Amino acid sequence: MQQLDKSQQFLADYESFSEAIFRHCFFRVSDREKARDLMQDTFVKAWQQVTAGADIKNMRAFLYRVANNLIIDEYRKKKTYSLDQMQEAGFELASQDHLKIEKIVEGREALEMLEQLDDKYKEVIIMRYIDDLSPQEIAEVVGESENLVSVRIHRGLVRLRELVNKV
Amino acid sequence: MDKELKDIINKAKEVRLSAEDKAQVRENLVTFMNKEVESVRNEELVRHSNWHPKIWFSFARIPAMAVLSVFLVTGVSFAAEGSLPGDTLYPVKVNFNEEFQSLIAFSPESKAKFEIKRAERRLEEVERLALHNKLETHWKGNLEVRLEKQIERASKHVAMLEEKGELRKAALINDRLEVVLSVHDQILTDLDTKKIATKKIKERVRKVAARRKALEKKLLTAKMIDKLPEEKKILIKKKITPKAIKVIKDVKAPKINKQNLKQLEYNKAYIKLQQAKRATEKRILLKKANQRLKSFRIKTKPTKLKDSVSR
Repeated sequence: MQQLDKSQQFLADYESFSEAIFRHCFFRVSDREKARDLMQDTFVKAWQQVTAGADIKNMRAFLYRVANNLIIDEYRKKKTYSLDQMQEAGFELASQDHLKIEKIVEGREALEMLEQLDDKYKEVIIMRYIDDLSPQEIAEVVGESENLVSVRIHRGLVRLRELVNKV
Repeated sequence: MDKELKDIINKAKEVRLSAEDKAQVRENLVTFMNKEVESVRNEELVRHSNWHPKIWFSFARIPAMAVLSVFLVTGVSFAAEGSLPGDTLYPVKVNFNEEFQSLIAFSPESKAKFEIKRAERRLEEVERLALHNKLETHWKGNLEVRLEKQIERASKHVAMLEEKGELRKAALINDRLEVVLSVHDQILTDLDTKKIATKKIKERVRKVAARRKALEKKLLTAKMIDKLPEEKKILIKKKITPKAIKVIKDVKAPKINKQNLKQLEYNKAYIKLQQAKRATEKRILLKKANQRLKSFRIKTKPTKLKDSVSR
């Protein structure tokens, strides 16, 4: 019975966080299909931890940590996708059912901007401003101190501002 | 934060997962979770000793089918992994284990990769059966059909990617298929002395190679921008043949960007690099396959004798 509760709770977590985890993965790997696979893998891995009896206090932060590790593995495997390639492949930022064309173009701008950031800045900026995680939660996800994370967010923001001004 | 930055962030937040994708992943997840739950239950049953009244009670409540599926899902499916056509557990391996895994694969790419892996497993079975002199019994009507099915499915994904204009992804998958097929073709030339399976496989190798040539032709005129030097580095790091290293080093990709489009040269370099990549992968795969066969030769010789006596 306990297992059943766990399953229900986990599926409720899926409903609440899948969208955000997908978005996070998307901005990190710049590939819709890969992001979807990564999101799925994140929940599969998290569920394995749940059934193994792991004590998860903050599911949201935990999911981000799993996703973050998977993304790092993905980077190690290969990193060859550029925005041009995606455009060449007829890439779209979101399903057209949900967004108007103009918004797709604007989302692409955001992606282009973020793509130019160093990965260590990109990861914290995405978590802080797109995923709305607190610096403390981010620190938990990346395994660094809260202080260092705050510094990184600040520097990332400065760099992002430079990029915006350039445009 | 400034307004421009805020705008960018807000726009980024509008990126969405489609409703179909969300539902599809959820469905995959539920399937996966059910499997996991059953395996945990099974472990719990084993862990507790049988005399405990509470356990007996809960055990009695589980319908027989569920108990059966618990054992099927855990021990049996694991044991089935090493089975060959003709073994009792072989259907579990191909119809349950592999089908389940294929459900988990999502994008056309990962689906295609998984089908290639399955084809590879079938080819390994062909080799092991050839080693046991049992290939003739199991090739027709069983292995042949399965192998063809897996290759067909992988090729379908290649075609789909090609249709979508994702030429490079299509070519990469086709390349992998070519590598796998040609390596096993090479091994079977020695093993399959009666030429039971080789004809069919050779035919497939030819088809896949033809497909590659067609894709290369298209790639030659495609618009691609990429980090070729990075790919070169990755390849050189792998342990590869001196010949392949030479090919890779000879590949000189012109730097291209939006202002300086030396596209044709770049594409030629890219195609050449893929050629080197195939050579590398073939070498690695051949080595692995030979090692595996060697271990089977040692392991299977005594049992082979027993088998022929008992049957």
